[in-house]
Amino acid sequence: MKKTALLGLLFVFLFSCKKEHKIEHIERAFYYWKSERDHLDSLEFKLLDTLKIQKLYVKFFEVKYDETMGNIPFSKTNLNEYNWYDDNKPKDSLQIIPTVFIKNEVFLRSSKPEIDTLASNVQHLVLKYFDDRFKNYIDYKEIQIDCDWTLTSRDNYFYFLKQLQKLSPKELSCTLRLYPYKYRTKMGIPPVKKATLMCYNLIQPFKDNTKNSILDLDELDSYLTVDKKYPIHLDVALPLFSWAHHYQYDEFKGFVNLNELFLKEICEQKSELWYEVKKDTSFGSLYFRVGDKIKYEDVSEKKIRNAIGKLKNKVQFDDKTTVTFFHLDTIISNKYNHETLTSLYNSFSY
Amino acid sequence: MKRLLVYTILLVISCTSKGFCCYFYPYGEDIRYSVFNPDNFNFDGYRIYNYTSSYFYDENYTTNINTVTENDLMWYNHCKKSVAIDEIKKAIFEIDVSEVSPKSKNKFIQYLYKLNDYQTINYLLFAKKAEELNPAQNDAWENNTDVNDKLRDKAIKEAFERIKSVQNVIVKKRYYYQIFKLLSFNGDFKRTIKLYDSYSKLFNTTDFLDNWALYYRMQAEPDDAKMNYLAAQVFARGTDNKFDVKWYFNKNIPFEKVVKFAKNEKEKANIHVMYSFRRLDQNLENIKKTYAFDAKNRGLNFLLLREINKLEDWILTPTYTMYLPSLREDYWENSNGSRILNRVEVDRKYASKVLDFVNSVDMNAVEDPIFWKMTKSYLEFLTKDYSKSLETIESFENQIKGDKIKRQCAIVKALVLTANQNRSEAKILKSIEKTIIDEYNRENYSFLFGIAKELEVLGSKAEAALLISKITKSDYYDDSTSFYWKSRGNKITLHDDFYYDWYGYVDAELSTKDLFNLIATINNPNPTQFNRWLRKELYNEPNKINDLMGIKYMREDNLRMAYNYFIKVDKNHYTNAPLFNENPFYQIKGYMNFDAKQSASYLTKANVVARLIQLQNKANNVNNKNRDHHYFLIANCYYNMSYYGNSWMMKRISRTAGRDSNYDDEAEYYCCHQAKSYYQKAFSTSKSKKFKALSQYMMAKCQARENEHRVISKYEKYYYVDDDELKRVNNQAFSSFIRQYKDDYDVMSSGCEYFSIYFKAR
Repeated sequence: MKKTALLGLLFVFLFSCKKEHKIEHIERAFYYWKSERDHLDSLEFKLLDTLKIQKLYVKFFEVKYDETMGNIPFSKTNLNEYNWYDDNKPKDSLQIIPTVFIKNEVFLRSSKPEIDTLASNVQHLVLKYFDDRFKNYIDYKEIQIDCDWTLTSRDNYFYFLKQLQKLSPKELSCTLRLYPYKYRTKMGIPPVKKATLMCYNLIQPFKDNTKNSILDLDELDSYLTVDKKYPIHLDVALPLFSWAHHYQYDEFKGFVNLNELFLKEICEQKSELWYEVKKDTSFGSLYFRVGDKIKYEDVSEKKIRNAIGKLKNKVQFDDKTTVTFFHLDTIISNKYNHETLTSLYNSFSY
Repeated sequence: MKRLLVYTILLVISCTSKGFCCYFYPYGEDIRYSVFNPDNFNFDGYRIYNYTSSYFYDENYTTNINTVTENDLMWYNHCKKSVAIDEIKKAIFEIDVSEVSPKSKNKFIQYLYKLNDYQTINYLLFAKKAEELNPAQNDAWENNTDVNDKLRDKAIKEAFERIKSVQNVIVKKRYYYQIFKLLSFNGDFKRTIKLYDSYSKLFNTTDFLDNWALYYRMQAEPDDAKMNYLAAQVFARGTDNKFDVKWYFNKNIPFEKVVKFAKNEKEKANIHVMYSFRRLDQNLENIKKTYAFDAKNRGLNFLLLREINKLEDWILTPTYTMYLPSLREDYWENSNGSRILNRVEVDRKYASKVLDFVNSVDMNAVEDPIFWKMTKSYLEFLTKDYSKSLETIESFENQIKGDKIKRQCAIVKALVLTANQNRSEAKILKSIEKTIIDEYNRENYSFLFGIAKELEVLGSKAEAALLISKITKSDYYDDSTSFYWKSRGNKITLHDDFYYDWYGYVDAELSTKDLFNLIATINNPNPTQFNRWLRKELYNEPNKINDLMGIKYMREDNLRMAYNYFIKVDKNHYTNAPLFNENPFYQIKGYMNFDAKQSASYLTKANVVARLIQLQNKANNVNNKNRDHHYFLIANCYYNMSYYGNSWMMKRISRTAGRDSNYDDEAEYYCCHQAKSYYQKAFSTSKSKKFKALSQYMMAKCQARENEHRVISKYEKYYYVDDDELKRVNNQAFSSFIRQYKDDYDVMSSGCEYFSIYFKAR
């Protein structure tokens, strides 16, 4: 009887445990998304250095569709290696990876010839910016395209990726939202060799007032239901940022980069995510009035670890995979210490 | 001269920011005096060129939601005044092209859709798209420089096509405006000139859009002299584009070359305006010429307004603040007090010339005769012809329409009425009380300051102080409404050479009698409603007032009266607790402590004075055996009440002071005459050899202070004192003491504790 019971327990144990998809070799990376800044500051360099970051995905520019001008770049980076001090320069091993965000409207409104032009323009501007601004860095091996493409824009988007790949000798990668990851048959596989699975901003910021739009674990769970390996190599990106949505008279005024301490000083917390301004306060060029509402979204270390656990369980990564956090900012170093950040990267491998 | 240098450096440093109090020194608009307010007259289109020392132009003038431009008014009329202007502004400048739809929340957009005004909607969409073709958007991909030129050409073609089907004339003109603008971006001047020729035949009007068409025509002109002529005509007509015109006007091109293009007298007048509207010096000749060509020219009134504001700066800024005019570069020539006021008289003569011209003008021929009459009355005030000024005001004040002009008239009248009083009888007249309160409520503190200064000149300093107490704040470095002014004697007070609040002003500028009058007004048991309002700030400061009065009596050495006021001061008034760090009777600041047992913690100003009176009574008693002792203690106290002592606060509200300050007891404060005379009495009445030696030592010490003061006063500021000379005069003071008391001197010099031994050796 005892033997039967033990065998039964072993059976339950074996079948209840599923293999985790650990990553043998992690390449550490950050996104750098700020456009206005022309240099990295010393704390940012320190993060790159101490965390031994190998790749920095720098947003070179964004592309939008303009009624008059057609497809045009905007929010161009001002970053330039000539603006940072020599002793702050990151190690030679750091790769600057040009990253371009293209609005989905571009692919909804452009014809094939216009996309040909777009591919040529993107290739030109990436090359120009790298040569002008990061000449002394090791030559980039990859260009990453970021786009929230949909089923209706898919064909044009994939066409664009193919055209760009034809023009560029560099390896082309793209970002991949969880929706096309899950519905891969319906949405198709981007015609590139690798994609970065974006595990944040899973919910539209204004869709659900009660949920954290940066990272919601239930929402993450709901997409990680496919066991089969994704047909192309997958890297992964996770959030390390916070933001606040500022509302005045129930009208959205904008996203604000607020410090949590400051928030608690001027506001009364009304729920897990919502705060109400209690005293008129100016903050930079902004002015918070009594009664203004602020939705503060943040990602705790525990939540990121949970998300990593889920990803390891559900997504089959290759042995060598890049883990990227969004995004490089001094605020990170205030919030997470070096050990925590190292262990967050490493937690994919144990 | 050295002081000037220091101030110039301070002034330059202060330009960096008003917020850094360490470097602050008032200049420019901080000191410019003006109550003839351009905002009270209808010169809105010229306001960016008002006379001011801060050349700051609000770049967002046209888009700023709070300003109303001709463009806004044109749209406002387009929708029959049924949509608020701020909604129109938002629709024009803020709303994105994608938001122009029937679902828009914007009232102006809603209005257009409601009326199916697709001509206007389509124009709006076109204009918003054309906005993307501005030069800032050139070559977005950084690979094709002429891409935008082609896009603009395409948009120009489209606009011409649209014009054909548009019926509304204003919308049609707006398309032309867009075409002119796009041609300008492309630098296609030939087409611009050709298009303007046909445009001016099509539309024989001079509205806001026509002004812009002329502006682009001017921009395209290849001949520099003709461009100047055109710029003058645009400047005369336009309002929204006045700021831009000046970039095309070249003042170095001779006037004669330009005036040849003028087709009539009005255009000549416009050229005169253009050539002189930014002049900072006397401009009467151009004003006269402009008047001769076109008495109704809109620019003529503006030139006159600027001239009045200049005269205010040249006459009233120095008269009221003792600063040089804020916009004149004669700093080095006119920097000292008497020269400043002499220069004012030169400028007053110029004001008379301007007045002569205004008197010669045909009031029926000019635009806005009330404005001209107002300037006349104000010029009469500036030239001190007060009764004439009042006559002038009476002649037109009943004809004034409009609150702003009425307000301006009341301001001028109040100043004239105040200035028109006899010296020493001057007061705040009942008839101007309402104006004072009205202007105070509107935060027009310059006006109240002007009245205060007129009263001060007429000897009514108590009332001046009351008005100043209404308008000055204590945190002056951050307060944009602050005033800074120097004493009429142009002397240094406290740590700066200027006043910024009632406290410093009352302390240094009011005599004991003035302050007595002020206190009487504050404590009047039956105040009128106006007086209750006027005294409110000072009524709430009895401690400061009583302390100031006590200090003033101390400066006069009127101990009993000083005691009467000090005793009224609440002991918690002084923030330093305890107020006295050292006992002024027993300890000389620094190193001499004659009796370490004597405490200072219980002392107040009142009981220091009481003790001083008591000691004087005792010392004056010839039967008193301890007279020498008592004289010595009195002397110590007087020494300590000097700049060098531990009890300077008995006579000053702040220790830091310039040598050339405004107080009556300056010599005593630095030379310690009284202390010396009491040490002399201690010496004379003592029988102890050692005590006599100590008294002599202290007399030498007082003499050293006097000698030092003589040296330092030679210099304009004590930063530059020659240390060697100071040492020499110091030694001089002690030389006879050393000769006479060589042994005692050696003992005293060997340790501070010997002073106490000598003191007790009596």
